[in-house]
Amino acid sequence: MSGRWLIRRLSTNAVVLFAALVVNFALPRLMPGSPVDRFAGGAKMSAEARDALIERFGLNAPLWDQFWRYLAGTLQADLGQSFAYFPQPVSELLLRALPWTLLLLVTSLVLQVGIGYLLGATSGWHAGSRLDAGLQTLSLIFFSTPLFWVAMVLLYVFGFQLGWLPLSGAFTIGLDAGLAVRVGDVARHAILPIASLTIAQYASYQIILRNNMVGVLQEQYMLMAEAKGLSDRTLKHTHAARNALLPVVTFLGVSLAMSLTGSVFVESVFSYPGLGKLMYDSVLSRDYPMLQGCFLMFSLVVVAANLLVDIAYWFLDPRITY
Amino acid sequence: MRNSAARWRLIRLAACIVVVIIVAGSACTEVNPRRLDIGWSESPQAGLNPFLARNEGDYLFLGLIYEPLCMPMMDGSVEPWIAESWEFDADRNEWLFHLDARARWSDGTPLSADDVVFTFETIYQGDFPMGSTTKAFVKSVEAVDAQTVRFAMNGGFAGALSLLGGTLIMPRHVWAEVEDVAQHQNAMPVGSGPFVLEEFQPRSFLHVVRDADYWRGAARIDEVVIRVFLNLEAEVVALMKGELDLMPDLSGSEALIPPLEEDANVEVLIDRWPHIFYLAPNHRVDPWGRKEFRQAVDLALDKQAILDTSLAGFAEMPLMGYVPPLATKWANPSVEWRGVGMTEAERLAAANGLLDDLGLARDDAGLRQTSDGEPLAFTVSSLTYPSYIRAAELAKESLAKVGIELTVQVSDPETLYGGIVFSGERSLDWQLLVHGSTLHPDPDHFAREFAPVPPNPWDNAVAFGWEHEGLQSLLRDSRTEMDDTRRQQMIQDAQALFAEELPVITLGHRLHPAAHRTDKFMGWNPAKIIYGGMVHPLGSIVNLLSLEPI
Repeated sequence: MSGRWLIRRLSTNAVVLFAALVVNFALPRLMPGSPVDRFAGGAKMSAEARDALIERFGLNAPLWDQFWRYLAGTLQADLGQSFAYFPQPVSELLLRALPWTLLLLVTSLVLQVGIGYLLGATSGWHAGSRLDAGLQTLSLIFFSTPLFWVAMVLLYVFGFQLGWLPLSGAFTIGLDAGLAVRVGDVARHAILPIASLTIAQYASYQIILRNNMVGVLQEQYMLMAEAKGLSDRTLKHTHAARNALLPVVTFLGVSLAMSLTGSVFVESVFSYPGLGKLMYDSVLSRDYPMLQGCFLMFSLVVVAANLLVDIAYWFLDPRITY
Repeated sequence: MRNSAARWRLIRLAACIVVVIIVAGSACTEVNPRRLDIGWSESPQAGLNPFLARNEGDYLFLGLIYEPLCMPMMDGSVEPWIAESWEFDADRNEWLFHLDARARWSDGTPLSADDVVFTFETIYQGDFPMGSTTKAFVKSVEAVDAQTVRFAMNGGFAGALSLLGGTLIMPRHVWAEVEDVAQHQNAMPVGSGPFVLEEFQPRSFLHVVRDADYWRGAARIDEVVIRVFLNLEAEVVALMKGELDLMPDLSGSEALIPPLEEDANVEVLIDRWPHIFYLAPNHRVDPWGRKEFRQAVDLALDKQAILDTSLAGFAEMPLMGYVPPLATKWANPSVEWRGVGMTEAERLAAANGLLDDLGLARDDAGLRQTSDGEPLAFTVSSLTYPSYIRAAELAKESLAKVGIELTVQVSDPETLYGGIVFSGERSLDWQLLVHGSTLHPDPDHFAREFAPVPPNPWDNAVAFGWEHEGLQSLLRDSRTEMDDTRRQQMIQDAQALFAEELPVITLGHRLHPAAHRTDKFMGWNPAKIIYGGMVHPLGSIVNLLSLEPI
């Protein structure tokens, strides 16, 4: 990997991020409705109080002025103050929400890839068998079930009927215990949201890997490996699955964006205090600065993930040079 | 091969560690049994800064920490709280509030008249939402002595007691140090209420613990947690499972009530509520500006079906005067819907008669037309709430029977209110609106909404374009009438005129379901108290102070 490639790639990403910044500013304002009308409307307040609120939010300034202030603020890591939770700074709310979403996303992605790999490799290895048909049917069922519904079913069965896991939140409020118990408590609260995201999205990896495996198994080097007397396990994992893995890595970047979108639903169902729930709240309340902050965070995560995927390519496939 | 075995051992070890951590987490997460967990649907928008309080959620959260001078109740009476008594001096046009000498802030400082003066001066100078509706009526606020506050008024202000009295009082010694009140997050609030802050996570929860030295006597419950749920189904399940003890608001999720009622450990309380559910026409869209047309529409609507279907029967038939029947001191019981006691055929015949008299003839397809040949076809806008959509669909069915065509348009609240109905340009894009409001117990809101002085674009938006000098001047006069009996009569007369005029067409009054568990606390006291805003009695501070663990 050359330094020139990295610089070129980072420059492209910077342009993408700038475009995202502009779109992030415009998108919330294209939605009908104004945050001030909403706040003024929901409250019984005088016209003076309403005007004071407009001034406090800076919405009396021309759009260009608002845009430049937003741009300058973002470049200085100042994302402004939330309208819906005024006067709390957007960055503070985002930083509070981000770790929870990352916990869900990263764990879920690892599980999605792990389960997708195991089932996809098994399915591809036994292509055409009943096992393959069964695994494919199962994956299609999960693939086509709405994430929201999966989350609701898990909540009802494991949270309510069986009572094994907590129904909502990220931790037990007011828990007075040691670190190990707190970590365990956070883990228990995360199980159902992570399971929802994983169940709804692992199938993509399984399907991609299975189909690639079927192609790879026809390759002559597989015949050669078999002729060398290698075990089925080595053939399957070291020769077939590893060679079928590259498209799975490609899909990781896309999948991350899908999981971020999915987190909006999952966090809403489980009242999980992450970025998804924050964004959902902000859309409903037309909280422009918060929406801009959420979109920026999402853009950063997706751009960074795609950069990492490109770098991972370089490690995984010696034929690829940058 | 050896590498592979080692890898599997590592994976098994990691899995074991995860299981042990999770089991440890589940074994020790019992919470204090003297803690009350309340479910709520949104985080306080004001955070912990009461000066920015603007909705009922804000008052539910902040009402645990801060207190008002007095508490207005739905029957029209007012309960003393920080103020133990008050009097109105008609000659000098002044209100005097006498504070309870026991009142203390949570840091031990005595609560004094200076704090009250500071609170109102800050609100008025900064044009803060809390209490801002009283600004135009108050000339000055001053401390007569440590325990007495004087409000000199600009003319009469009949709603002064409940509106001034319901404002949360702030400590001067804490807030005077704050450079910019609007920007202050108030992370360590000092209030006079029965609870002090333990932890606040915006959008997630508020955790307060009891103040053992609370001046009215410490609460018998140790802690209160208000948790924010975006998903009502999950909230109901949490109540049934015992993760929550109280859901003060089940409105809009009436379908979830039957499973709660079957739970032996849950009690569902369905109370009358100061709510009004109505159709608001845009009076500038012809022929909605004509009284007889509105009366015809009112008669054509099958209100019983609307209440039974859209609100699942959790509603009362309407009084047509914009004061809910629960406000017994002010409501005029004679302004019943004129369709009561009539068969559907009779109602439709009467409605058709009125429409015929207006010259709105039917075409071959049965659709009525204006004299200009324009079809009587309108859009009825509804929020995304299922109850609103069902009401709009049923209104469409009803009006089709008299030759009026409706198309139902569904929007989220910000699009409908912010973008269409209450837009700065006073858009004409809307024609008919399904709307609901929870009203303050004092009828001051009646005048503020339909006869605002000075004109407030927000306040009269639901009756956009409507004018009626007689009714509006009566309402304006009622705001300044200090004789209670005369004011009562004016409000009742206004309701009679309103029922004739129908600036908005009332469909009914929602009942308010709430639910709580019965196996952890006793002493639930569903007294009709409205505290600073519109919170259900079960969530009010008076109820929380009456609870004790079983």
